[in-house]
Amino acid sequence: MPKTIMIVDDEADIRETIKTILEREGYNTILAIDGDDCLKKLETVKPNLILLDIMMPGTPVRDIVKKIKGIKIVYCSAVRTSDAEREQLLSNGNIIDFIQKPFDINELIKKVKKMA
Amino acid sequence: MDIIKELSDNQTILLLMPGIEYNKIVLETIKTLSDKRVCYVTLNKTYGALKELFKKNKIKTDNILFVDAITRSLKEAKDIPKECYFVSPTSISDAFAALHTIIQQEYDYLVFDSLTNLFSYKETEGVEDLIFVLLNKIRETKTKAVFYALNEQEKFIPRCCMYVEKTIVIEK
Repeated sequence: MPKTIMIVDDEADIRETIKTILEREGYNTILAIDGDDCLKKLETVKPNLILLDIMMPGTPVRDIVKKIKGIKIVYCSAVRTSDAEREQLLSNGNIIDFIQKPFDINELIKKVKKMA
Repeated sequence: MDIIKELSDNQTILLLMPGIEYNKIVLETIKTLSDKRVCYVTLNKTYGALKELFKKNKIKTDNILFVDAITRSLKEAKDIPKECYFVSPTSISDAFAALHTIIQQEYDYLVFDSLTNLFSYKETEGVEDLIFVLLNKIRETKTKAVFYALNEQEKFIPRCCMYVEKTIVIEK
């Protein structure tokens, strides 16, 4: 059974690009336009992995992440953090990795395959 | 490009650059300006990431006030350093309101990094108004301002050129 990836990004072109790439690799995808939409959709679906942008309108992602239980999350963002901040975030809860935008398609697929 | 000279001739400058040159230009510019009082607005790197990056490149940060619109998205901002303001990451209007107050402290330079990130928000129409108001607030001070943007955002960036005194396009 194909695994399901939720793509949470306020930029439609990014959402659609990642969706196309992952569906071509055989994944099911669910799209959410921001963190609040993500939480709403999680009431009815449970993806294997969430790709979560950091800078989005609405509730800050730090609060969104706290409300997501039992699903692995990968930050997928252009935001750069320090090494110390990254370690702190990875040691805390269900965030398991970062994908830096602009991302390399092969790296994205590789990471999703490894983590989903 | 002599950024000091450009800013002595123009109060507000837009630096349009290719993505590949972005980090190099950002570092060169802040290195040149860092002897004076600088207000550095970041929309793509956390305060922590900038401090780490500047330290690695031997850039003094003693004179820099950081306005960080990222960190509060990621974590609770505890023990806020005195050289940093963490502004609202989810409301551009609130972030700009805070910025209007901060620039009243008469910095020599304001660095806005970057318009490209600003336009990644949904409220595009409102973003232009915010930039326009910010530039007017800057004109009420003696602060010289440099705005960064990637030159790949064809739809919005040319419109911002109208608001600043000079646009410098950096080629690859």
